[in-house]
Amino acid sequence: MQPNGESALLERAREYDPAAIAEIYDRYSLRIYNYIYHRLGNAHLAEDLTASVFVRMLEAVRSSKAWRTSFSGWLYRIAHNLVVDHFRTGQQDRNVPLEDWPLASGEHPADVAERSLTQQRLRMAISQLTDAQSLVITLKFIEGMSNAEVAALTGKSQGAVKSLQFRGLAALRRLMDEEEL
Amino acid sequence: MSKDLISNQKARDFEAVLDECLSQIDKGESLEACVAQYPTLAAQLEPLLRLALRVKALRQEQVPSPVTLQAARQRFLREAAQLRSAQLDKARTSRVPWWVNLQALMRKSMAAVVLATLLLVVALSAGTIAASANSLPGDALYPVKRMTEEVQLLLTFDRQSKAQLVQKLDERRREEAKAIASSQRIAEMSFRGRVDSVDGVHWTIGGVPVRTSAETVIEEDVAVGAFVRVHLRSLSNGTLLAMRISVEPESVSPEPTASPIPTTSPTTTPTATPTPTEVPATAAPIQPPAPTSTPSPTPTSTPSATPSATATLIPPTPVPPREVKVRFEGRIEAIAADVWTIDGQLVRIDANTRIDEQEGTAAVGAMARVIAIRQQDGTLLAIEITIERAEQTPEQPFEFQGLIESFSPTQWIVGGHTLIITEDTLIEGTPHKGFLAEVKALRQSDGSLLAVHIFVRPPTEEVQFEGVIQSLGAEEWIVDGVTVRLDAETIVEGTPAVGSRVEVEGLLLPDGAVLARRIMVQPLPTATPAPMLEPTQMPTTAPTTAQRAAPPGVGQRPALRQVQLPLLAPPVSSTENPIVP
Repeated sequence: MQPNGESALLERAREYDPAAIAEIYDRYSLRIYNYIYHRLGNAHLAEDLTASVFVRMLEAVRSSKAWRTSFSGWLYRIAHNLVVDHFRTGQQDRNVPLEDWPLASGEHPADVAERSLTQQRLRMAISQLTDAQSLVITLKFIEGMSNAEVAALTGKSQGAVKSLQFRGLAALRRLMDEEEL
Repeated sequence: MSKDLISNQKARDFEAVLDECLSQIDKGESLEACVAQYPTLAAQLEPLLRLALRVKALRQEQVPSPVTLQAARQRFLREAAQLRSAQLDKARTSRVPWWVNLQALMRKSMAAVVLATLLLVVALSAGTIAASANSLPGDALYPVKRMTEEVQLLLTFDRQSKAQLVQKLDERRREEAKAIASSQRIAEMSFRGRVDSVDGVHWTIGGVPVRTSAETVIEEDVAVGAFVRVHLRSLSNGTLLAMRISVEPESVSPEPTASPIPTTSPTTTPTATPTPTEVPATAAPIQPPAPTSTPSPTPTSTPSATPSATATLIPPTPVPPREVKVRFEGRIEAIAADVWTIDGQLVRIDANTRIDEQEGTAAVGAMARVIAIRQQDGTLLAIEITIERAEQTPEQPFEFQGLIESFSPTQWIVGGHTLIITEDTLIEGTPHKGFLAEVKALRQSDGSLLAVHIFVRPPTEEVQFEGVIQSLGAEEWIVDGVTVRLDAETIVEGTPAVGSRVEVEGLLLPDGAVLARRIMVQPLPTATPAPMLEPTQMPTTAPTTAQRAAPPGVGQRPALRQVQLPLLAPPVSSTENPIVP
C-alpha cells in the first residue's frame, strides 16, 4: 500500500533522481530517527543508525523486490533490524551517560537514573521479542500507531496485529519478570 | 455483573478484550475501570495493560533534536549522486557514438582518422575544450578531453615531441586516477605506469596505489619495474580496484617504417601470453595501421644512430589491438538493460549475446558461466552466458509458532515444519511433544529450515479428571477418550491396566492432550482386597520416573473435575511470519 504520489516518487528514486531521493529522506528521516531513538534511548546512535537505514535504502532501491507492500514499513523493518543487530552484537552500553539523562525540573537525579535504567531494561526486553512482536509493540505503543496503521505497515491483518500485540506483551512480561527477579 | 455478561466475557477472545481495553485507555478511560469490566480476566489483563502503559511511557520521553541528520542528508545525497553518475556512465559506455570511440577510429584508415578528427576539432568550440581540461572520468566533458588529446597526438609529427606528449598524457591519466580516488568517486578508467611495488594485494603503479583482488586478471608475469597498463574501477571508499593489469611495451612504434621488423604480415598482433582464463579470441584480428600511410617510406630514412630508442613511439590510449576471449563463472549481481554485473565484473550484452537459460532463469542471484570478449577499451562483451544454477535464495528469516510434534538432538518437527538443530541453536525451555514452540529459523537455499532460536512455551493450564484407561502405551495413554502423555516427571501411583479407573492431574497441552504430572490408579473392584498403595514404577516410563505413595483418600477425590478450558489456547497449526527484508 503506497500513499498517494509515493509510487511515482519511488519510481524516480530508482533512477537516483536527486529530488526524489531528497524528498524521501525529508519525508521519513525524522520518523525513522524517532523510532530508533525510542528503541535505543541514545540520540547519537539513533542518528548514526538513521543514516545507515537510508544508505541501505539507496543500495536496495533499484531492486523491484525490495519492498512488497509498504515502503515506509520496509524502512521501519530496516531500522528494526539495525536496532536488533545492535542489541544482538552487544554493542549497547547499559551505562547511560549522565548527560543523556533527560532531567525534568525538580526531579532528583537518583530518580532520573532509576527511571532511565528501567527504561533501558524495557528496551532490551523489547529487543528480545520475536521480530514480528517487537515491531508491532514498538509501532503500536511507542510510535502510537493504530492497529490499522500497524497492519498496513507490516503487511498483516488487524487480527494478526492484535494477536502479536498480546503475544508480545505476554512475552515481554515474562522477560521483565525474569529481569526483575 | 450478570451471569450472561460473564458468560459473554468468557467467550470473547482475550486478544480482543486486551485490544479493547487498550483502546479505551487511549481514549482516557482508567486502567482500573477497564479491568473492572472483565473481572474473570482481571488477573491476566491487568499486568499486561500495566506493561503496555510502561512501554507507552517510552514515547513520552522527549526526543532530543537530531543534530547530524542534516549533515547526514548531504552525505546521503552525495552518495545518491555518485550512484546516479555510475548509472549514467554505464549507459554511456554502452551507447558510445561511433565518432566518439577513438579506438574504433584508430581502426579506420589513417586518412579517415585525420579527416574525422579535424572535423571534430572544428566542431567543438574552444570554450568546450578548455572547460574539459579539468574533467575526470565520469564527467560529461571527459570524452571531449580525451578526444582533444587524441587530436593533439595525431597532429604531432615530431617524434621527440610525440614521446614527450605520450609521457605527459600517461602522467595525466595517473593524476586523474589519484583525483578520482581522493574524491571517492565511482568510475572506471585505465592508465599506464611502471610497477613501483607489490605487497600482496597492494600495488603501486606509477606512484598510484592500486589494490588487486582474486578477480583481477593479471596478464603475463608482472614484476616490479615492469611497464603496465592497469584497468581499474574506483570504489566509493577511495580504493582503486584493478580489474586487469597487462604488461605493455613502454613505447612501440606506431609507424611500421620505423620498426626493424618487416611489415609484411598485416595479421601480426602483439602476443602477450594471456592468463589461463583468457584465450585468444577467434574473432577477426585487428588490422594494424596500413604501412603505406606512414610518412617514412623506407627504413633507411631512420637515423641510424638511434635505431631503437627514437624509433619507438606510441599513442598512449589505444592498447595494442588485442581481443582476448575471457571465460569465468560467478553470481549475477545486477541486471540492467545492456550491462550485467557478474562476479563483480561488468559485462555488456548485445543483440548477438547468446543467453542459455535451460538450467535456470537469468536473474540476480543465479550462477552463470560467461564467455566474453575483452575489448580494447577493457570492457567485456558477452558472447554467451549460460545460467548454471537458478537464483540462490539467500537465507530467509522465518518465524512461526507451532506444536512440537517430535524432537531429537538434530531435528525437531514443529507445526509440520522440520527444523535442523545445530550446536548454535538456542533452545529455551524443555521440549515436550505437544508443547507450543516459538521458532526463529533461517530458510536455507535448499529450502530446509535451520533453527536459530526456539522458545518452548510450557502449558500453564492445570487440569484434573477421572476416567477409565482405554489404552496403555509407552508414552501415551487414552483415558476416557483423552490422550494422556507421560514423561520422565510423571508420577504413576498404582498398577495401571486397561479398564482401570484413574485420576489424572496434569497440564492441558495446546493440542488437547494432557501432560500427566500424576496418575493415581484406583484399585479394580474385582481385584484382591490387598491395597495397591505402594507406588509402582511403570515399566514403560523412564527410569527416573518419580514415585511416591498415594495419599490416603485417593478414592474420595471429586470425580471428573474438569478445570476450565484455557481461554488463550494457541492455534493448533503453526502461524508463520516470514520476515522481510
